[in-house]
Amino acid sequence: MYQQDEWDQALLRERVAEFRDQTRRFLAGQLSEDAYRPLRLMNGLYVQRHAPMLRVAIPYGALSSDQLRGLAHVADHHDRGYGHFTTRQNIQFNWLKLESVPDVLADLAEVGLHAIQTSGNCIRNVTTDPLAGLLPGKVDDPRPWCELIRQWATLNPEFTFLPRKFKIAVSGRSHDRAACRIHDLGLELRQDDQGGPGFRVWVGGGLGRDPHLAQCLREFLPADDLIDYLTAVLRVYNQAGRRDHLYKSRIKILVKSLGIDNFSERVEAAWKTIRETGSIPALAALERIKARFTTPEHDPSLADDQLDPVPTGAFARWLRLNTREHRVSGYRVVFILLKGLERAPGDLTAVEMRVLADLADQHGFGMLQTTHDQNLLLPHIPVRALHEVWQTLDILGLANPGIGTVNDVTACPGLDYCNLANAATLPLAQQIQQRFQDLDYLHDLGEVHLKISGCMNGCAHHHVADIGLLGVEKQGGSWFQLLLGGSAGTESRLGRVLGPALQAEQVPDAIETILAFYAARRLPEEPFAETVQRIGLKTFKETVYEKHDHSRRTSHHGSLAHSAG
Amino acid sequence: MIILDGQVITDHWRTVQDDESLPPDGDLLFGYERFVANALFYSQRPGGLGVVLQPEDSLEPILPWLDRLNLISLHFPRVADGRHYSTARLLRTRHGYQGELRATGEVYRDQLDFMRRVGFNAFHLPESEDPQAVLNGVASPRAYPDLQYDLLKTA
Repeated sequence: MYQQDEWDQALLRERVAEFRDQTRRFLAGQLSEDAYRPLRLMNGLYVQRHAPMLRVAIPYGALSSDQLRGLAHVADHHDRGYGHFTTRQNIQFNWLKLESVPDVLADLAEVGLHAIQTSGNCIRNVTTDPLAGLLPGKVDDPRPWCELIRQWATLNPEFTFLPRKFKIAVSGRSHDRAACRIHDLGLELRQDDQGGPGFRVWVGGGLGRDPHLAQCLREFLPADDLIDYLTAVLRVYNQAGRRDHLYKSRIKILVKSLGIDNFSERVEAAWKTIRETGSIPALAALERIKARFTTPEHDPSLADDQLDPVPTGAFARWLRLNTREHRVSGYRVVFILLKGLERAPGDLTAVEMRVLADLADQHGFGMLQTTHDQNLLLPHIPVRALHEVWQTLDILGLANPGIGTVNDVTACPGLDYCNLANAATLPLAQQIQQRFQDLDYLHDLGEVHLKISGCMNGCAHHHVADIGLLGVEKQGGSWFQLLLGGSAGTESRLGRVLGPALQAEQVPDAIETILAFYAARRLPEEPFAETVQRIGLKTFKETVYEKHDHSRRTSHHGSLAHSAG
Repeated sequence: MIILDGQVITDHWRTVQDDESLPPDGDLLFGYERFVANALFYSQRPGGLGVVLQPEDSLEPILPWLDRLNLISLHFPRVADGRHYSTARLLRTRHGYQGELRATGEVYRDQLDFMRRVGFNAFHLPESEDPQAVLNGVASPRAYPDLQYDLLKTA
């Protein structure tokens, strides 16, 4: 965990006081709605369907047990007793009162948390691979770089009024779990021929209504130049990005209209200027930052620990699906699935937060991590504590074995909370989970990522899911378009639309058909997206829509489900 | 209300309209196009010389006159239009402009902290703003991260 600097604490105190004054002026009628909007957005505050929504930043997903208790306090005292983890590793509170938000921010500041730059047209929270530095063979840890970018971006005076929001992801070498190619800017750690550290730079990715995969802006950027180069990219965007149209102002549109070569030339020119007139060397800064990261001291005497007795039943199933091998022997990485029949994806109650914080303190160095799939993980759990951890999670209903399976549904809040949504996502997520209760079947299917967005803004990242569902506007009810074969990893690919939208009630049947077809046609070990790629979208389409037409003609809605077995 | 270097001042600048004949003397502030078309001539007359830039105006044509210019006024058509934050920083760093750099247009007290850090030292605010609150805002030192090229720190 990063240990905050003095300036961090001072900055948070000052910003809370500032926002308190701004909110006071707004409530007193001294600030207009228009004038207050950018100020509240800068502090993560949206006005939603029912109440203001506050998005709290969890920098690169790293959360301490004390911070989780701080979030529990906010959930209890200012909200309805729970919070909602997002796909960008943050947490949202949906039921706050506007006038209490300054107090909420003051409470969060006590544990080093804040909502700065979680919304608005600025550089948003930097995200990374939640498994960074945890799995065997994962040598480099992008988190110090994320922290460096956070420090550069926080209240950066030049880049607080950008044409549109700007999202940065950093991934480690070899396997991209940070989804670099769907971000405005993606940084992939790598080395040059001499082993010098640096990045491959991706630019112009993004989902939403005009999905694009990022293009390579620079094959190799020396690490020491990172801050100068980021400044150059942002300066070009700030000056040249469109500001006349909300949907045309992301950097992906600028890159597309200029062409990657022209865009790159502009960046190189801006970079040259910066090097000549105020360069900030990044490697020296990184060393200072690294010195403030505490690393857990794993106990070498646990290295030979084995599970005894050999796990069976529910515990064994949970181990298989919800934990991963740790790079330090004697430890495992434990996922906590925030999904289930009684739970909107990503929701966690204050009581649960406190129990998890205690678990982390007791067994896991007080550390937790949020993921892109709205789950949590306990990064360093000794093998000998696994049974106890599982029991505690099971009591909370947080031990459902299903990480990475169809039941690990990612969903935006949808029509139930959001002003923009076309469709109700949460009931559908529930129906899908209800449908797939056969755990052996789920395990047999393996990793199949399912993501549901309530509108084309695509907060759940449905474009890069194996099975993506997009809520569309149609005749009052909730309808969904199906997309298949997307992926956000190293081999990034956008999912393609399967066919005409289906009514929400038909979707679980269709998914069952798709999965059965996949199970029947895949090669051994072949991931879902590759099967779609190999045998073609069309064959999936025919299967789904033939069955669907047939079931409509015979008015046997259930027939689709049974035929899928 | 105009604030310059942390004090409320009475403005001595006269804005010359595009269709107005050239006043015989005084400190004159011109629109961008009129200034660019007549820069050589204006630079030779006595009195202060100033120019107003909109966010889309290129810096190139005014660069030869930076030593002669006493005031560059950067206009913000909307609070959300942040292009001039980059203009200001470029003027102060790359081009070494030393004169008055003034923010005009949609400028309110809540933006001033960002503005002063990219190099603005003057602000044109609505009369409705509370002068004392504004002055406190631009006078107080505040905490910032280390890794920003910050004109307050480098000054």
